[in-house]
Amino acid sequence: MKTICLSFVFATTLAASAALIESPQKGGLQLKSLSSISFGPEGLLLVAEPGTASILAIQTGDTAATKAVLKKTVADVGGAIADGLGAKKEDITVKDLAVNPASGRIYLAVQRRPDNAVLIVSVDAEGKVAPLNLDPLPWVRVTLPGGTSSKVTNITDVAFDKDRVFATGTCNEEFASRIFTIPVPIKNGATASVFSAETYHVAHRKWETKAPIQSFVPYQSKEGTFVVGAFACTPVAKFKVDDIQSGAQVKGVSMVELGSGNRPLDLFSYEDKSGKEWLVVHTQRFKQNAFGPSKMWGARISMDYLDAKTPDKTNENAARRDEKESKGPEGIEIVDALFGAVQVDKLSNTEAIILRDTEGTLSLEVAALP
Amino acid sequence: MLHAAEVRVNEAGQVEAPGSDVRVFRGEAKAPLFGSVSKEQAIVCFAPALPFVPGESYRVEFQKTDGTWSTQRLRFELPKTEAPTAIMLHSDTPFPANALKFYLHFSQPMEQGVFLDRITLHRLDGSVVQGAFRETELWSPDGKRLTLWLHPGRQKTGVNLNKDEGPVLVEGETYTLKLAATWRSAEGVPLGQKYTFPITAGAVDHACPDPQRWKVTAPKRGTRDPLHLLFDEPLDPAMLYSALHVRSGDQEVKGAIHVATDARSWSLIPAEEWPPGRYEIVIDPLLEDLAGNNLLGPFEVDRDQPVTPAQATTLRFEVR
Repeated sequence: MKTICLSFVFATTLAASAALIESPQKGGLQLKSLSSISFGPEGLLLVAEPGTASILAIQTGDTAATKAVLKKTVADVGGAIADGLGAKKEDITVKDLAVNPASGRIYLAVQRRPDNAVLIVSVDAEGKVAPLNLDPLPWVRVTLPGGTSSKVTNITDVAFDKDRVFATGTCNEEFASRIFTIPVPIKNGATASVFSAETYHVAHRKWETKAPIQSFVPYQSKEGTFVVGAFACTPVAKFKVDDIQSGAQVKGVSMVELGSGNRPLDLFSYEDKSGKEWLVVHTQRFKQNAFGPSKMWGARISMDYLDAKTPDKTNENAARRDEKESKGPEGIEIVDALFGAVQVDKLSNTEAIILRDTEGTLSLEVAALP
Repeated sequence: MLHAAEVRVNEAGQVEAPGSDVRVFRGEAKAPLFGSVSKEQAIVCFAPALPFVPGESYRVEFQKTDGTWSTQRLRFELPKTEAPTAIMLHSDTPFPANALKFYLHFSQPMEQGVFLDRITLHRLDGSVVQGAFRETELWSPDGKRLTLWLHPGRQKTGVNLNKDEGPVLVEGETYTLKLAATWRSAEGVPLGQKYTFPITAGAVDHACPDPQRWKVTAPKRGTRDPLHLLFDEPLDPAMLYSALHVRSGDQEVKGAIHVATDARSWSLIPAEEWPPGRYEIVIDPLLEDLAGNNLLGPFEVDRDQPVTPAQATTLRFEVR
């Protein structure tokens, strides 16, 4: 039987990233659920599948000598996805967006209602939307540790960092936060290490929070390796993750407070033209924004804040942004392009890819970073 | 399922048509569905990237062997299953005003991604408590239990949202949790009726659960009578299914666990008759009460005050 595949697949470099995964499987991968996606090197796609409490690493083979960046805004990408999935536009949710740094191609994790079926689609430089054909791709699965000490039912974020993969998770029973690490190469069926994460609410030194990390980035500094995580309402805290044993509790240090009434959605870091490093926090306000046109907004934070060490600049003394003001404090700036963004990821040090919601219509666009 | 005469849906959920090419569209959509096309002799087959959706109509365009295109329509009927139903345990028991979460149980897996639009919390005067719930959507793996978090930023004393917006629940007040009749099961069948659950907010609870205040009723030897625990407060009903383990030496007693609907009691019916001897109930220190306080400490911790954890995480009893 001759088959014509209307989805896309890359056959060029499937063997090139062999060192990133070990004992790969081929075929038979059916995604049951999706929460977060991100990319490692060489087109390695990391997928959080909360329904099975597992992380999948898929060798997409999507690499190119030169990046092919989205040429123009895709005006109604939600409509294109809905048509492709045979659903109404309002029955589609884009759960996450990731740019493959090895190709510039944009990937979207999509869920359809009412059956909750999920699919990963990609958007090429021409704006063409196509499903990712998983059939020929090598993949591995790591199930996050179970049991009462570390059960996880929602994986909030996943990211690659040199020699390991980090994931953050929450539970649908006890109120707690977990950080998982998986060694690279990622071996099919391997075990992740798990840490309990606790931090302090910046605004009220009397009150401790075990709130789950919503989004994070791995961060390397002279002090070591950190997970920099953002929490609802909105402390940004860092957790030192060198030399800790599985099962340990990691106490975070709050570095910045973006103000109450916010829920962080995405984090990424970049270096501006002057060489200064920034952390971008993409956020949703619970109610109407006092300083901009949308509940969806974002700010960039000078990385200098993350390097603060002394107690006079951390935890209860961390820098605070006034959620009613459009400016300040110094080194924390609103990124105008993120108003209305429902998903965002870094494309380069000068641009980000933004999925924007305009009165129910989703568009995909390239936006300049300040 | 209804389908036209020339096209058919095979057992694998793929569309088969006579001819050399085929495209399938939802309703009057301009772009075709994602999927793959295969051919075998005079039959062309379309496999959608995701299964066809019950309740939807599709337009099948297929190219006949003579090169002409023909169009036929398919409709996938909703399954003839009963409407889903919903319950919330403890709905007639006062919740602590600083309660952290509710559990909603459905008879079928439900549509996800819409809970904030389908669930509302109303005061006695009918007004809606705005921003009552945390946006994070947490379903059990079978898709039938939703953990509905009351917004921790509002329920936690002294945090900015708590100061700015006030707590979600106020002690002594009565509320109604409403589920919209339009909420569909994963098969597309709506609840069909509005569900309402009364909620009364009682006193706030900032104390750790204390197993020393629980009452243990030991079973008799040689029986399969239940081991029964009576708590002095409702505990997290979901966690109770996995947080308590009964041991005799190194051996765990296997059996069926029952949790009362008010989450004030727990029992274990052993798979085999109880041998006489000394037993231990080992309690996961992360077990919470309804306000998120666990055995290690209260949900809200005053950093200037030492935490007083529960004095015991095991209970002992003897079977005679």
